Amino acid sequence: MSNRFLYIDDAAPDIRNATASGLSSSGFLIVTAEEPLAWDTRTSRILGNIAQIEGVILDWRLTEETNRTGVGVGGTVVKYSAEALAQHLRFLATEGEIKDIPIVLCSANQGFKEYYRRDSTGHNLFDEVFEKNDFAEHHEIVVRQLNCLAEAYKILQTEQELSLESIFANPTNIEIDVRLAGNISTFLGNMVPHELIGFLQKEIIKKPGILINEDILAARLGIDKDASDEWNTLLETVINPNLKYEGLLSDGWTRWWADGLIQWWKRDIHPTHPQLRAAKQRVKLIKEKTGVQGLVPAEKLKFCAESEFWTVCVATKKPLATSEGLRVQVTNEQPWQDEQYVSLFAILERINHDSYKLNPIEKERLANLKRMLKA
Amino acid sequence: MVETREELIRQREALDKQLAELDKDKVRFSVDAGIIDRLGRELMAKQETAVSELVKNAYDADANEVILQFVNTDAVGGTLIIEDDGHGMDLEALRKGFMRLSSTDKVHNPVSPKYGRKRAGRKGIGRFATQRLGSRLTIITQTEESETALKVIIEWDDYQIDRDINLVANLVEEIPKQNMQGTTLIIDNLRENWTTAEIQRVFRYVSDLLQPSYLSDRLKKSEVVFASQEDNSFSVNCQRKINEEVETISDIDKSFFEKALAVFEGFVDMSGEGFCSVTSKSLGIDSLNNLISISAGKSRDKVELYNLIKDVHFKAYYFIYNRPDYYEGQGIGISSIELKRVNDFAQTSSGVRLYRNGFRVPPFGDVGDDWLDIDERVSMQSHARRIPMTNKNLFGFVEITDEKGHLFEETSSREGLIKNEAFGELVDFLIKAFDACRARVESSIGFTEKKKKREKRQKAKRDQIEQLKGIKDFIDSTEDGQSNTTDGEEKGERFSREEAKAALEELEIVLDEQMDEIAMLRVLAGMGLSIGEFVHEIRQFSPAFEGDLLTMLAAYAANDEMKQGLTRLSRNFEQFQSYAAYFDETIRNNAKRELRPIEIRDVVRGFEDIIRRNALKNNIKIESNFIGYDLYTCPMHASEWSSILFNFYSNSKKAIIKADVSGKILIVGSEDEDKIVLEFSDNGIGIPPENSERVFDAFFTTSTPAGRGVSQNEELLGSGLGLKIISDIIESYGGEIFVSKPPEGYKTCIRIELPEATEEQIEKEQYV
Repeated sequence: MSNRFLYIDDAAPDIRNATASGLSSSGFLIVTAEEPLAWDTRTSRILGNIAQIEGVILDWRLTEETNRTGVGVGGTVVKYSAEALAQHLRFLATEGEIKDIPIVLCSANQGFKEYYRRDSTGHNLFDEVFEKNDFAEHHEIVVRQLNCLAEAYKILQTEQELSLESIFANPTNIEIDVRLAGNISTFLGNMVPHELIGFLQKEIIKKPGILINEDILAARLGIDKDASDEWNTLLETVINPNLKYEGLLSDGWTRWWADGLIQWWKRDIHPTHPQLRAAKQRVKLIKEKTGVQGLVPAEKLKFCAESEFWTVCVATKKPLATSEGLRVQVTNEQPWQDEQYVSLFAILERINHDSYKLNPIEKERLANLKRMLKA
Repeated sequence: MVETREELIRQREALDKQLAELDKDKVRFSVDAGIIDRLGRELMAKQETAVSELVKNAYDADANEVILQFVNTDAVGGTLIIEDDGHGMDLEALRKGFMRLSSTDKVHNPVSPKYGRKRAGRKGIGRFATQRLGSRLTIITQTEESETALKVIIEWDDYQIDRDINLVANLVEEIPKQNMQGTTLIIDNLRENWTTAEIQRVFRYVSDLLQPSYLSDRLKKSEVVFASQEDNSFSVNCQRKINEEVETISDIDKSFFEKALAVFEGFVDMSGEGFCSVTSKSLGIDSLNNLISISAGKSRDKVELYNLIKDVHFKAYYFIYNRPDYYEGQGIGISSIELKRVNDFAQTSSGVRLYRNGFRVPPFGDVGDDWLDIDERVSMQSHARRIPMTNKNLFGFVEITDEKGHLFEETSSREGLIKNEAFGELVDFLIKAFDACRARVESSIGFTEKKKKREKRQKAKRDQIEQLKGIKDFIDSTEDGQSNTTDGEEKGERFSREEAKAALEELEIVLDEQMDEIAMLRVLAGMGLSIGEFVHEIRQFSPAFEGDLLTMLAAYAANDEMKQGLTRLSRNFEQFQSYAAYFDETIRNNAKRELRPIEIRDVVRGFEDIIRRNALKNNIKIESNFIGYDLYTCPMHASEWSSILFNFYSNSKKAIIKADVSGKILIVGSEDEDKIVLEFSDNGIGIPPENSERVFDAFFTTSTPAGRGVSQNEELLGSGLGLKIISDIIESYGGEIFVSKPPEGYKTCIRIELPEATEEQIEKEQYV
C-alpha cells in the first residue's frame, strides 16, 4: 500500500528533498519533491504524470521564494498559489479529465493552521492540512492518513456498487440519520470523490455526533484513559468489536459509533442510559460486566460539580458534563452533530484559548459564573 | 721585582693562552668592550629612562635626598650631576658592585640595609644609563666610615668594539671627602642638549617614578618598605644651572585630583577575585557596598578567578573636561578655569601608569601609550560623546607587587614588561574594570541629568510645545521690527530674548538626550529586524532537518549507537525549534501592530514553555502562580511581554549563577484594585537597596564587562539597556515598575503594575 505522492514546494531542493525523504523513510509512502515551476509547465506536468501519482502535497506558500528574491528556486517566477493549483486540479477531476486524487496542504509557518481555520476559502479544496512539524512528530499518523486518503479516492473511483452501507460499513444495529443519508445519496448520485471525502471529513469525522473520537468515548464511559492501565485492553477486547467505525477513512481516523455505544451499554452493561450515571458508577459497572479491572474513573475538572460526563472540554480534552460546559462556536452546524463545550476552568485559566471561540449566547452565563466565584 | 702594567698584561695574555691549551676540550666566553654601548646607548632609548635608573640606584643605596643638577645643558656637551647621600661605596663595593657587569649584589640583598627598602634594581646594569647620557662619567663616592673619598673617571669612548673589556682600565684616586657619605655621578659631555621643558619632563618623570601614596594602604603593612611618594625619607630635587645662575625646577601640584568627577578603584584580591568601584560625590555614587565583580572569564554570568595575578590595585581620577555642570551635585564643584587647567595638564601627564614594586614601569601610561586600548575602544562606543573616556580623561595608577620578580619581568631596556600570561591577565582585569566604572558613571550621569531636567522642567512649568511657541512668537515679534523691551503687558505672553534663549538651550538638551536614545534604539531595532528575518529563515529548514533525521533513523534502526545519537540530535533540535518558534511567534505578533488586552497567564505560560528547558539546563526551577481570573492588562503588544519576561529571566539567570545556588524563579500574577500586577522573583544575589532605583536607568549594569576585542553586539547585550527599555514600555502604558520586597526564600522581586483592561475590552477579546 505504498502510495506515491508528489510534493510541490518552492523551498531549496535540499530542503524539499529532505522533507520528502523523511516522509518516505518508513517505506509506506513514496514522496517525490518538485519545484512549483511556471503555471503551464506545472499543470501539464501533473496532467502528463497523473498515472504515476496517488496524491499531491502542496506547500502553502508557493510564491514565497519568488516574492523574496524575485525568482523561484528553480529559476522560474512562480505567480500562482497552492489554492489556485488545487482548484485547477479539482476542476479537471470534476470534469472527468483526470482522475481525482487527494490534495493536502502543509506549511512550516507557525500559526498556519490557525490562519487556515480563519480563512475558509480553501476549506473545500484540501483533504487535510498539516504543519510540516507533524511530518516528523506524528510521522506514523500522517503517513497512515495520506495512504488512507489515497485508498479512499481509489475506492470511490473503482468500486461499482457504492451505497450508504458500503461507505459507512455500519453494523446492522446502527441506523444512519435520515438527513445525513439524504446528503450522502446526493453525493453518490453524482460521484465526485473529493466532494464526498471533504464532506465526510468535515461533517462526520472531525465533528462529534454520529461518530465520536477516543476522548469522548472515554468520557462517555466515565474512564480516565490516561490513568487506566487497561484502557487499550478494554478497547481491543470489548469496545472495538462492538462499536468501532470501519467505514471509509477509518484507517486514517479512528472513530466509534456514538449510537453503538449506547446500544452496547444497554445490552451488555446496564439497561439504563449511561449518561444518567456518575463516572464512578459507570466504571464499576464496566469492571463487573467486562472483567477488565485496570480502569480508573475520570475526575471532575475544577469548578465542576457533576461527573455525569458526556463530552470533553474542547480546550483541555478532559471529560465534562454537558450541563456544566459552555458552548463554543461551531461553523456550519449540522443537525446530526453534537454541541461542543468548553469548561469554566479552561476559560478562566486560559488553556488553549486560541483553539475555540465562546458562543455569545453563553456570555451572560459566564458573567454569572464569574460573579458567583468572586462572591 | 717591579714590573710595568704593560708587562703584566702581556704575562696574563700568555697565561691565558697556556690555560686554553691545557683544557682544549673547553671554551669560555669573553666580553668585548662594545657591550657597554649595547647596555647604554642602544638599550635605553629615552633620556628620562636613563636618569630614572640612576635615581633608583640612589634609592637602593638608602639615600634621603637626590639632587639633579643640569649645568650648562642648553647646548650639547653640558654636565649632569646626580648627587645622593646614600651609603656610598668603598673600594671593594666599587670593584665588586659598580664595576662588575650584571652584579648580583641586589639579587642577594634585595632589601636595603638601613631603611629596609625594597630595592628597585636587579639586573645590575642601571649604571650604564650614564653612558647613554654623556661620554664621560666621574664617580665620587664615600662611605660614612671612610677617611677619604674615591674618585673614578670613566671615559666611555675607551670602550670601543674589538677590545677586550678587561683591557680598559680606569684609574681610582683617593681624594678628600666631599660629603659625609654618598655618591656623586658627574656626567660630562652630555650627548644632547636639555631645554627647560625637557628638564621639566624628566623631573616630572623622575618624581612620578615612585608610586603615589594615594594608591593603597596595603604597602605599609608589608615588612619590606616599598617605594612610595609618601616616603618622606626620600626626595628628589632638581636644579638648572646656566653660567652659575641656579634655577630650581618644581614639580606640579597634584591636589586637583581631589576635584575629579569620579574616582575609580579596584583590586584583585589574594584569591584572584577582581572587584572595582566608583566613588563620586558629584554624581552621588558611594563606593560602599557597591563593588562590581570583575570576572576573569568571558562569560557574563559567572565570576571566574584570575589564575596568576593576585593583590593588584588601581586607582584613577576621572575628569570630563567640557561639562562643569556634571560636577555640581554634592561635590565640591570645579570651575571652568580649573577644569581647563586640568585639561592642559592632561595633554602631557594623563594616562594609566603602572607601578611595579613601587616603581614606575615606563612606558605604560605615557602620553601616546594606549596599553589598555582605552582610546582605541572608545571609538566603538556610541555613548562616547556624552561620557568620554580616553587616556586624556584619566589619571590612573596601577600597582603590582612581585617581590621575586617572577610574574612580571621587566625587559632589559627598562621599558615595558615582558608580555607574558600574567601581564595578559592584568590587562584583562583593568580593561574590564575601566569599562565597568565607565558604565556606572554613565548610568549616574543619565540619572542626574534626568533628575536635573525634571526639576528644570517643573520649575519652568511649561512643556516643550509651549516653549517652541514662545520662541516662535519671539521671532515673529522681532520680524515685525518691534523691539522686545519688557513692556509690562506683553511680558506675560511673549518671551524676552533671554527667555527664548534659555528655552532654546533647554530644548537642545532634551533633543541631545533623545538623539542618543534614538541612536541606540535604532541599533536595537536593526538587530530586531535581522533576528526576525533570521528566525523566519531558520523555520524553513526545520522540516528538512526532521525529514533527514527520519530517513537516518529508519536507515540506522539496527545500529543502537547511531540511533541513540540521532535521537539525541532530534531532541536537541526540538529544543532549538521551540526557541525559534517562540521568537517567530513574537515577531508575528509584533507584525500585527494591534494592541490587545493581555491575560498575563497567556504570556507567562507561553514564556514558561519555551524557557523551561533552558532553565533546567541551568538548574533553575520556574514556578508560576496566578491569583484571580481575567487578569487582563490594558491593550498592549504581546511581543512587549516577550521582551519583559525574557529580560527578567536573563537578569535572574545571571544573578542565580553569580549566587551559585540551586536557582528558583517565581512568577506571580494578580490584581490589586484596578491594577494588574506581575511579580518576578528569584533567589540570585539580590539587588543592594542603593541600586534598586538605578537598575532601571539606561546603561546601568552589574554585568562584568565582556573584555577587550568583543563585538559591538556583545557590548550591546550587556549594556544595561534591558531594564530601561522595559521600564519605558511599562511607563508608556501608565504603569509602574520597581524593585519590591521578595517573598520568603527569594532575594529579588521586580514588580510591574499595569492598568487593567476595561470590561468592554475583555468582552471583545473573548467573543469576537
